[in-house]
Amino acid sequence: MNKDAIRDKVAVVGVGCCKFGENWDQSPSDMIVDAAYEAYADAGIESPQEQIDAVFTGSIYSQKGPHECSDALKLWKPVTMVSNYCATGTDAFRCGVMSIAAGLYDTVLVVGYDKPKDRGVSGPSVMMDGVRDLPKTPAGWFSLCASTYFEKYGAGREDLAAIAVKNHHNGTLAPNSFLKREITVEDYMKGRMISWPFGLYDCAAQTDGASATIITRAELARGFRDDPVLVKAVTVQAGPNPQKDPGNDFLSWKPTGWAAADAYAQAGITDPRAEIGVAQVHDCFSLTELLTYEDLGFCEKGSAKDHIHAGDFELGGSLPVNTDGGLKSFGHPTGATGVRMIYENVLQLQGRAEKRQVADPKLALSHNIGGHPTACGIAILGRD
Amino acid sequence: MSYGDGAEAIGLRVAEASSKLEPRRGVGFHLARRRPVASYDKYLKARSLQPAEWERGSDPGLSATIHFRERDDDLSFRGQRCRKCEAIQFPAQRVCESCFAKDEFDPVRLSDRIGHVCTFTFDFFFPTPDPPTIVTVTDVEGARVHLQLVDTTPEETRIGLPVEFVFRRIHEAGGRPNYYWKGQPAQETAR
Repeated sequence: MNKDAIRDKVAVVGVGCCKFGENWDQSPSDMIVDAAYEAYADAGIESPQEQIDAVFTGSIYSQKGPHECSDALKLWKPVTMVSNYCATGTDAFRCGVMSIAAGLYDTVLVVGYDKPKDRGVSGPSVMMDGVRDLPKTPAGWFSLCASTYFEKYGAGREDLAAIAVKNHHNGTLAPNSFLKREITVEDYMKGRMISWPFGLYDCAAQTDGASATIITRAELARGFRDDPVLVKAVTVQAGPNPQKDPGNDFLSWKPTGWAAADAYAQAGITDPRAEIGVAQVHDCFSLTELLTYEDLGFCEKGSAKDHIHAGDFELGGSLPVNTDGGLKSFGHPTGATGVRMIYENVLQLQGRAEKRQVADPKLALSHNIGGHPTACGIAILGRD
Repeated sequence: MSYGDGAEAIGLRVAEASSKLEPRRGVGFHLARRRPVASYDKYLKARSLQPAEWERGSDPGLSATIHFRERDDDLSFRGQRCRKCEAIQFPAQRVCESCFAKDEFDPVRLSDRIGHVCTFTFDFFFPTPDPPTIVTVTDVEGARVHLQLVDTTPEETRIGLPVEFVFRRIHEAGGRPNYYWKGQPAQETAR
């Protein structure tokens, strides 16, 4: 493969994000319109029907397919819907980026959204499949790394608590977040158990949401904004189901490491810890964020707890992670999440993140991992 | 004899041959490992006598055709051995996850083997009358399976625990009992 096919070829010139939450009074179309029109305004696009060449959208709950997005926006364009577990939003972004890098389109709209709350249940979906596939719970899947990791590296719930406290704090500073509430370690410890060692505060909420980006060819970017952000890398990576993969050590999730190697090669990054200035990583559960620090090379395997308690990943730390509060504070409308992370990273790179702004980041990484987990998506953006 | 709606009594006589049988798990063994139901509330839930938040009517159940296709995995707990690389895997799949050979497998019975717990969690969210459900990833003969444990407690669950396999009700999707294999700590007389 050509690792230079993406880097600096495509620019993000507009971003938008609706308020995430239990949006009982909003349809998917309402949220798509909120996110897309904010992105249009951000890019200075006044006539989307003329200025947008194609649409890439991502959702895993949509019953209506790609038409849902076209119909909401009245964009009668080439439109593609992507579904790739929790990496859906990042994959929709990737498909848009590839279409521009290939020279096919000039300007593309990417929309990630999901509306799980219309199903009328508060918990995660029960998968309707074969006998063996049902009913498992995402907390039960992602917690399978805990007994092994805790035993090998001496970590525990107090380390996970620090991640939950951090993300709840950051969420109070993000206008579009769902949960805006500080919690303490004591609150964390009192939360009811969901799937050991995950209690209530280890788990992301389930919410509705939509987020959008406008991307264009790098040489056209300054026609939209004078501070465009460039795509340095974008990738998705499939991995074996860890529940039946004899080669899994349950100390990390394989697809993250594989996707990181690809993304760093594309972006020309050799020392991620030093070069990346801010990161949004997939904290569907607190332990997922902890493992991701290590799997992305932000610290050595087994050392995450030391860096957590040193404050390295907090807003004022050396590598702030989940500056908007992450899935913990926004909830996880699956198709929207990856695009919401790109929204936050663009604001951070452009110095527009207000109270949660980190000091002068040059490169920003976003990361999703989902399925059993079996799919990872990573996008790296940088200032022009 | 039979009476009314169906009460039956059967008389059995212990014959001399029964005293010559190999050692086995008799009534005493099973009574010794019984567990009391902790509360009337749990009894009601177990018998579906208590209304639940999630109505049965909203449960579309299992796909009958998927159920049919996966009968050897689900009912026989049958794995497969790759003829090229010898790796044993579960469930049945077309391409070897170890050497990538295609359609080169012989069936292997896993139900009478001993597995070992690789990792575990205690799931309080899984729909069951008596949470938490003990969920493991268990290795058996080189294959790796996602497996619930029964007839044990979280306190007794550990990495490396040897387990044997038992055929149990796993859930009631579609409003009917569905069966699959679970693990229980390996006991004496288990192979």
